[in-house]
Amino acid sequence: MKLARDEMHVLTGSYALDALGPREMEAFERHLPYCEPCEAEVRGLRETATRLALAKARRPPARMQQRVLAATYRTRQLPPLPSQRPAEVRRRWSGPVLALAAASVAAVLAVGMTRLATQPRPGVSVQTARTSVGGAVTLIVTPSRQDAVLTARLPSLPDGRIYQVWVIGPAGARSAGFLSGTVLALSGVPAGERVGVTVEPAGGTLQPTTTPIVLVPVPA
Amino acid sequence: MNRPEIRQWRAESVDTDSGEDLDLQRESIRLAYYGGHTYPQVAPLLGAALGTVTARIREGLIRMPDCTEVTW
Repeated sequence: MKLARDEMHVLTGSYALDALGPREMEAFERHLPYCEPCEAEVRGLRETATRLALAKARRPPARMQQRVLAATYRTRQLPPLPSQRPAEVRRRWSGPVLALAAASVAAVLAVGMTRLATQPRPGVSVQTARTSVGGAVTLIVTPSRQDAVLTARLPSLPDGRIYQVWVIGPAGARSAGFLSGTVLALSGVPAGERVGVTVEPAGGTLQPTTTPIVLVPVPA
Repeated sequence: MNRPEIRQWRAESVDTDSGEDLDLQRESIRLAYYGGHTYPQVAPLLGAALGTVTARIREGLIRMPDCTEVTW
């Protein structure tokens, strides 16, 4: 649907309630940065929309938290149901990746001892690179170049900063997530692209805003 | 910032509310927000035109802070 500028203005309310269709949402978000009145109004109406949520919110009874917490101690965790998991999840965490994750934990130890403790599976590529802030990362890639595990031993960051991981190709950088611990599973790392790590504000960014502390090429 | 212009624009949209408009505002917002519908889904539910629904949602939200007694 093609919308005139005036029609855009009327969409502020629906936008604040997240009630636009996907294509209008896109069009409106393109319009928003260029229209100060719309931008100001959306900000105000969003606050109002928040009040709608509060109007319906009920405070749970005080004892509910205690009951829920008590129940978690008594309740055994359910076993996994492999046959019912969505295909996507199964693909991402299937055997080879779990094996890689296990291998990567070993690799972290290996990096610490500067000696590789385990032999990687045939065709699996293992590369370790030092970073500009000290420490090192290891990129382990399956032969298909579809799945990878990045392990890291990096200095801790000040509050409000995180390590963000990127897959960088000819089309630019796309975020692969945050390194909150020492291991990050990546999916879709094509040969010839690079895996990089940057220091970003907490919450992450859409595109890297600092120079990567390390870049590891994905082998062909 | 062009504040007076924005206020004027808001005032124009709110001053003309009739009782029927108020019902449409409330129902449009109820269906869009609590019902999780997009406004093109709301319009046929209320038998209203698309443009009417977007306008009523916007007006209803604009006037809401003035109507603290209203129970949604």
